[in-house]
Amino acid sequence: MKKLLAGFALSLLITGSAFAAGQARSNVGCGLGTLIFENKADNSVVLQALQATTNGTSGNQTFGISSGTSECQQPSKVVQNEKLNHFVRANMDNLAKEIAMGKGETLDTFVEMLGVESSQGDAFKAKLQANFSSIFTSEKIVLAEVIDNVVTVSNN
Amino acid sequence: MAILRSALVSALLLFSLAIPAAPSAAATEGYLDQLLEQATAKGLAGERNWEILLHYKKTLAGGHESRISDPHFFLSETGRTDPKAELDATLAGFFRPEAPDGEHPICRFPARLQWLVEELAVDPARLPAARCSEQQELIKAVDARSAVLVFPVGHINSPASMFGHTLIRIDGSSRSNLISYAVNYAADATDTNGFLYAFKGLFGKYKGYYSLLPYYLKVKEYSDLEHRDMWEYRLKLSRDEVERMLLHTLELERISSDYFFLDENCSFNLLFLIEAARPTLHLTDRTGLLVLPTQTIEIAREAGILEEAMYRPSQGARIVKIASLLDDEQQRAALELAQAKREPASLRDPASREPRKREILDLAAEMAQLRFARKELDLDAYSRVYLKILAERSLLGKGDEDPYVIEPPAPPDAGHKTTKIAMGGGVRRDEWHAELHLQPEFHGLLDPDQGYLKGAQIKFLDTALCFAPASDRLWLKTLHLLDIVSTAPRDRFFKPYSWKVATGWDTEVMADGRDSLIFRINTGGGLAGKSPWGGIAHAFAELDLNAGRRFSGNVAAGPGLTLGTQEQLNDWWKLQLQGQAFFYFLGDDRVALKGMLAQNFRLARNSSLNLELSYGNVQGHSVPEATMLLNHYF
Repeated sequence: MKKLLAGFALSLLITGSAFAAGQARSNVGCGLGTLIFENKADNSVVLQALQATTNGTSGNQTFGISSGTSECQQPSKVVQNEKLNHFVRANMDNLAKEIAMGKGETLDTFVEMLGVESSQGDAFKAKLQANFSSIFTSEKIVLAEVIDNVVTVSNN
Repeated sequence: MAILRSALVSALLLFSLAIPAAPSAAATEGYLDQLLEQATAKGLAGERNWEILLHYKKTLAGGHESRISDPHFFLSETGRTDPKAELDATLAGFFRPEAPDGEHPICRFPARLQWLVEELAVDPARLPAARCSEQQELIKAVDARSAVLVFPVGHINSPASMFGHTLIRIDGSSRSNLISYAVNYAADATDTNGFLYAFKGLFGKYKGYYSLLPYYLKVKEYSDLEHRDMWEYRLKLSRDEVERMLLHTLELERISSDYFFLDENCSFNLLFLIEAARPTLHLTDRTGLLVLPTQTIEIAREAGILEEAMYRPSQGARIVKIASLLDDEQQRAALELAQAKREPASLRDPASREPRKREILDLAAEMAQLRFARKELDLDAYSRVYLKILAERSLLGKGDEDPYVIEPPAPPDAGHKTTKIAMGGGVRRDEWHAELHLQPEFHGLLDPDQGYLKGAQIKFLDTALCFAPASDRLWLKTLHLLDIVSTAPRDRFFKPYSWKVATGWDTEVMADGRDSLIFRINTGGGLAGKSPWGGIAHAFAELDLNAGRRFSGNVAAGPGLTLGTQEQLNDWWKLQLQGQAFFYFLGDDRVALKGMLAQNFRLARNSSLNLELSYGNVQGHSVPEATMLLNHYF
């Protein structure tokens, strides 16, 4: 399985110390349940009726990836990859579900982002499923641990 | 001028130190003059491409005005109304000396730059070398190759988005499109007061902004949190065209425009991006009075740039699908797992020999997520329950390739168009009459379901006029300013409320049995459930306020009850059954009962036939009525 991660674009190890400095590491909102609650106008029935005439959703001015993951602990077993971190942070619940199921679009995306070759994809996903409890080790798990645990599992 | 020129020269001198081959100031100026002349000679400021890039529309006076009012979008002070001044200022802007990273007009207006460079054969080597590092990174990250028009359908019980929404996804080279980028246009609306929200939205008091963000965030918002199915239409645009679309999108970063909920909204503004991709398309000038998301799909379809729709079912649809594979006891087991009333490991009990363990656990996991999203579970409890369920599921292998494939319903572009005119006639109290009916916007409960949200009705200015030749009598049967019904079925997993609101004029039978035109405000709430025939049955408690000359004090009010069901029996036959009782005891003394059986026969996508039979009884005066109407949608 070590070979599996040869194509792992991110598999270069970096030293933890380079990242340790200056990190808040509060890790709030870096784990499960990081859902975005959209607070639209109030939910009372009468007011909803009024909003029926209004065709819009509230938006923002985001361009590119909005919120980074700098306030979260960063994975130590792969090179810094903000796109991957952000994806795992935003989709951790679905990723956990699909790793447990052994299939799904979120899982496929994750596997592709890790740079696993498509011919190895099924074996890789099966391995993650079989090792679910070594990846999602506790309910307080944060994105850095998920990514690091996946690397550990795939190198076994 | 001399000062300016010397400043320019010194800036360029500094600049030339950094870049050896920088052109001299005089040469630059000469070159710019030459380009300006060339642009004038070619009449570029009058071209369609320029009109699109600047969002110009023709004014009544014959001039131009950009729909964008933000001054940051223009380099000329008069640019909003003067295309030529803006074009000249843009060209001059490109030759401005060095600016901070990302702030040079070359960075701010990459689509204008691309077009002008092409049209005027500008020598890139003679342009200043502007640094646009953030933008370069973004262009690389998006890696634009193809584009998809995305339509999340209306929200089942949140009318703020009952019409649905549209956005554009720009796909790159990755296989997964979750990590593609989405271009979204939305109002920056932070008001939580519904009245304020509606008022500001209708009158353009909100600012609209474009945003560019990972598609997975939009999928999560619509599919997982709001339970809205999504439709994805790939656009027949080339890679070059999609790149142009992206460049124009970048020009709109942090640029505000006035957001009008009804016309200049999310859907309308996305059309500009498609036009920027291929300027020969005319989309924004084909919109009508209102612009609804489904209409933009229709416009794009008529322009011939839509491929077949792809269906992305929401989490709600997934839950319904998995539950449909399980019997009552298995469903209850899943729910108990999600409620932590039962341990996932208990499924292992060899005595249970449960054949559908995977499905039960999958449903339990979805339900745990749903309960957390509804705030029925706190984060700790949710994380614990969720991981426990998943750990158990991970022991059971992958199973069938995809047991939860959901048969796509009719796509939105298969639905009827949103304006209806109907003609026909009927018999009311033994008298013949002709009837003309106009429903300017959207969808009624009796209209065919295809492509629309089941059980939801939104009508604006719904109007019916009748004429009885025998008595030479013309009357207004109905003029409803607004008429909304939302019936959302409840089941073991979902517990939504249903509601309705209607206001406008109706001809009603008074206590003495005579007809009179009244103004009404009617609202009610209640529950709905799936009927045994697959339709939606509902029960509403209502309050009806009437105003008219025939009431003492001109106003009457009373409570009422409605029971009804709508059944789409097959592709072409829809049935609606309804019984109502109202008791007006304030300002009037009247009991009004009414039973109705209405049917709709779908003849084609945009035509159908209504047959309606009703029997009313008001204080002992009976009012039988039969109507037949031929509907045309356009």
